[in-house]
Amino acid sequence: MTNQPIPYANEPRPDTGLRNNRLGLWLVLASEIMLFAGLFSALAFLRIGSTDWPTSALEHGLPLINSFVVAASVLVILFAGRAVTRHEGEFRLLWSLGLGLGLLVLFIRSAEWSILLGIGRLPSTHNLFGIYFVLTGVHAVLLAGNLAVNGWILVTGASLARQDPARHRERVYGAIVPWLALVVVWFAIMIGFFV
Amino acid sequence: MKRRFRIRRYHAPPGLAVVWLVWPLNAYACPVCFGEPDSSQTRGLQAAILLLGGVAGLLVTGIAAMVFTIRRRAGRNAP
Repeated sequence: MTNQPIPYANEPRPDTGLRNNRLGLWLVLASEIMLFAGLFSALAFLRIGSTDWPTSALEHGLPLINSFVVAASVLVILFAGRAVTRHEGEFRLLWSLGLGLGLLVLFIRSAEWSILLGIGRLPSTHNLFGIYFVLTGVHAVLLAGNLAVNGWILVTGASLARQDPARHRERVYGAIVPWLALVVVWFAIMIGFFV
Repeated sequence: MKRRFRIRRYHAPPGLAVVWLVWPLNAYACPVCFGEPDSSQTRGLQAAILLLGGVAGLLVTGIAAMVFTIRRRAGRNAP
């Protein structure tokens, strides 16, 4: 079996102007959107259909702090994306910072879960906690996956940037777009539960 | 020649099952099934359907738009 590279992965196809990796990325994002649409639909049903929805029972401080960290990570990741084709050193610095902020988001999430579980607010306690743990848990799993990819780009990116800059740039693009999607989902979670 | 149907002993279990299935029982409908429009459950279900249908509709529209765009571009840039 020959090891054939994927055609039009790094450069656009001449007739359609489409890159295959970007098409695949957007299809994955479409499936992710449908996954979260189902979960948010369940949230709408439970929240509007419930006569007792104790939002104040949730931990408010840590999710708010997490929102600021998430917003900061977006800026850092976008600046890193801009620097990828210009300054590899600057890109690596900003990318590492974005990775650190992502890990901080996961750490704050785990602290928040520990507090909730510690005071007996389990998923089985109320539908509010059930859907909250499911939504934030799925979001955390996807975020962890994205962080793993970001870490891989950080480790392997330097040599790839020298050998094949276009491929490196496309990998970075493929990591930034899902990150932005997860940020949008995070703010939708905040609106769905705390507004 | 047409065979005459006779009730046998082994007909009893399926016959009893049919009787059990059609025996009238009380039906307890939730407000959604009952059609109570002002119930919070009905409003919750309507919101959930609207949200899921809206997102699915937007997504399918986006995919269709993408297919048409690719087709148009490919036609324009064909050698």
